[in-house]
Amino acid sequence: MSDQKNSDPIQMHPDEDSVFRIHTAAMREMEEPRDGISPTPVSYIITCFLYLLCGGFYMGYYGGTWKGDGLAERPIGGPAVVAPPQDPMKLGREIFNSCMQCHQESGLGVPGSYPPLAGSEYVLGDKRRLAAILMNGINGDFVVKGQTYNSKMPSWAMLEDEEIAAVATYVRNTWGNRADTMPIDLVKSVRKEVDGKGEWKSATLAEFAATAPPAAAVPPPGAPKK
Amino acid sequence: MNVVNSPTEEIRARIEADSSARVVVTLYWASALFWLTFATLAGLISSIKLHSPDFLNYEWLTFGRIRPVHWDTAIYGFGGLAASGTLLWLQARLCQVKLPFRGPLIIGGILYNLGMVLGVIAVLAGYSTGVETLEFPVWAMTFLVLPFVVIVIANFTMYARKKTQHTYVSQWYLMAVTVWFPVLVLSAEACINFGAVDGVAQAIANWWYGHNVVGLFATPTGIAAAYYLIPKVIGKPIHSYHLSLVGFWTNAIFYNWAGTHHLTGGPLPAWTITVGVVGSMMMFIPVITIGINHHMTMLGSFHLLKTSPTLRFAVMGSMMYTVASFQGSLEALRTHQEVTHFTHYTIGHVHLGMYGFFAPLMFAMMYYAMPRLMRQEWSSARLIRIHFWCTLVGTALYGGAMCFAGVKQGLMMNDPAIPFLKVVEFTIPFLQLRTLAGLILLSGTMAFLINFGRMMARHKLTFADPTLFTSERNWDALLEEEQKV
Amino acid sequence: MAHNLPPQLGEALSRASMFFVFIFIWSFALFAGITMVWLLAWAVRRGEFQNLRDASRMIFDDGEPIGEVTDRFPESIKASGEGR
Ligand code: HEC
Repeated sequence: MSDQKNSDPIQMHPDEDSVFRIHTAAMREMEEPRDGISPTPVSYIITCFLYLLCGGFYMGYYGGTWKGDGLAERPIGGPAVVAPPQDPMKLGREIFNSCMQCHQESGLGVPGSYPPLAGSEYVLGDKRRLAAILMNGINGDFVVKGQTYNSKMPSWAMLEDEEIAAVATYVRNTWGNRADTMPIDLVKSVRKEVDGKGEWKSATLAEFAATAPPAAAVPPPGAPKK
Repeated sequence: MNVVNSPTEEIRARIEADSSARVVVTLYWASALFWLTFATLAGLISSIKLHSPDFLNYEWLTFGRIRPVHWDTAIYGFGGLAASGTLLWLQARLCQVKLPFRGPLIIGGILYNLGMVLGVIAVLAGYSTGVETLEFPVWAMTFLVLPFVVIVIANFTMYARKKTQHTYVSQWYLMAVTVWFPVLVLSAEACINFGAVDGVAQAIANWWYGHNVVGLFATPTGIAAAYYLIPKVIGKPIHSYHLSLVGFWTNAIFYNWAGTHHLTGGPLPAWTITVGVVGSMMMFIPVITIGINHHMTMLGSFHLLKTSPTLRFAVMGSMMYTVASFQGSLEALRTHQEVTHFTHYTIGHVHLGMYGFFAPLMFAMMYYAMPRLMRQEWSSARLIRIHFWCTLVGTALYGGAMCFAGVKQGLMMNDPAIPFLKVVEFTIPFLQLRTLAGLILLSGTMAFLINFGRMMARHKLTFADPTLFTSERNWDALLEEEQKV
Repeated sequence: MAHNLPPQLGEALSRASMFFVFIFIWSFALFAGITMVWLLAWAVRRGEFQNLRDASRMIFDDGEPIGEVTDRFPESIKASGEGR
């Protein structure tokens, strides 16, 4: 105790010595004499460092792109892993969640307000027109299966091409609808074509559907026409 | 063995520190207890509303208002005031100086309470900012921040004047709190309520703040209290001072990063969440280190739990610190969150942390310090026992019910075959259990309030300088007597 | 606030405020960093990291020395005859 004291360059309390002298007796009675300076075991320090390494690994592995827009935690670096093509019906079902509030899960719409998708000529008909509808939305009087609707169909341009194609494929093949799949390329070219055209009216949409598509976007032959 | 006849410099300093802190600390703690009762009541109302939605169906008491009031009064009202009182008393004692700026500190305490009242009314009246943990409007928040400026200055002044050669572990934590907390509040307010950032970044700022308010304010004060009380009460120095250094610095480095784990699955850049997950997992290092230190110090002294109320609460707090922190770290993992995110599990965890760890340590602090500040004993040992058992049983019931229900709820929600209403129905019995737990906690708080109130009623608060060296000797003599029995 | 202003003005304002926020954040980080290093040097010079044994014992004094239990239920003190 006094060794420690002498080797210590800083004198702490003048009366410290006496404090210790008075209490030697008390300290001997303690169950387990300790002095508060048990050193940190080396194994403990090594374990901590190994653990830190694991943390670093996790951070590198799940760090995404380390950019503001890297929403996916994998992959990073290395050869780009191409996401396997999604089943359009599955993806379409997910996207359709956004349509359900208006067109209903049954695809029958709400009479007088929202038109049906089941059996609709717009759904089963020209794919280019369907993509155009989804891309820009519709406003104003609109006739579906002989009924007139007058409300607003929002634009879905913020979805990816793949997602629009998937939801189109989904509505074309559900509730008894049967038609071929919507090609992603077609959605891509329609997106360019209709860019800046604004919401469709009944008339402008018909006009658009009547004009010939640019050569690249001709739908494959055999698509069911109304 | 040690009836000291002429008090040494140290004893004199300790007694002077105590009596200088008397009025301020009592004010802070008494209002902390008021807000604790208020928060518990608000929590109870919110809890009842979840299983009986028609309960107290008034506009001002809708769930969306009373639930934020519950959390804000718990963290700012109880947490802020209890921690500030602890901070001032401990720092004065450990620096062996008188508490400075007593006048401004009292005014600050009153302002703080005023801010709380205004904030609560604003939120209840529908003027909440809608940002979790920062619901109080900026003008109410100002009242909470200003007093803290005085507290920070007082804290640094005491440290600058300190008469001791060394700095005790608790002091590091207390100093750190006063550096971290103002920065935290100011940055969060700037980012969120003054609109410096928008959109996703605002959510990040929000959870950075929300998590840190617990982690960089409540937790360090709690740990500081444990580091002081456990060795002090049992009369043994802390197990390892080296370890406490490691614990402090790793805590300081890692905690700050953890907040974004609250947003797992949200539209954040992946790395922000990853960093949050790693920060949370790395918290194992300080938690285990601090745990070893506290529990090893206790080793061999567990029999004292029977006789010391302070120790009971302090040990409960430090044990729950280990438990709740382990739980929290694991909870940050993505795989864990797939089940428990957005379930009652999170709520269970928060209460294990706040009512299992933080609150008991603040209670321990009050049980230890109040008799020394007031120079008189607690009037009833039975009320202390009731308080302890209510706290323990209530927290265990709360945490157990919510965590179990949360896991099951998460698993059910992940199963698309189970309709949502089934999940809701499943949780109802557990929500009722939670109300029961809340009632138990409330009874405990009431017991403490009575004891506290009696002590206040018997004492006239004065600024008088201590004339207490004689009674201090009696105190020691009493304790000695007791030891012989 | 900025949301109700004409768009250009609002944008200019928010860009200006972001500028100040960045200035604030960076200068604060710099300030905090320098203070931390300075504090560390100060603590080392002051001998805070030497003789940790004394540091761990500074909470005890002659009145409440090591080996003495300093807290118990009130009734047990009363029982020892000197109750209040
Ligand atoms: C806000 C409600 C709303 C949502 C959401 C909505 N629609 Fe529509 N949709 C309408 C309305 C209204 C019309 C009819 C246009 C009009 O009345 O001017 C319409 C028309 C259509 C049409 C052409 C008419 C028909 O019935 O075939 C198609 C195709 C269509 N929507 C598909 C979709 C798809 C696919 C989605 C989801 C990606 C979707 N809608 C989401 C409201 C909505």
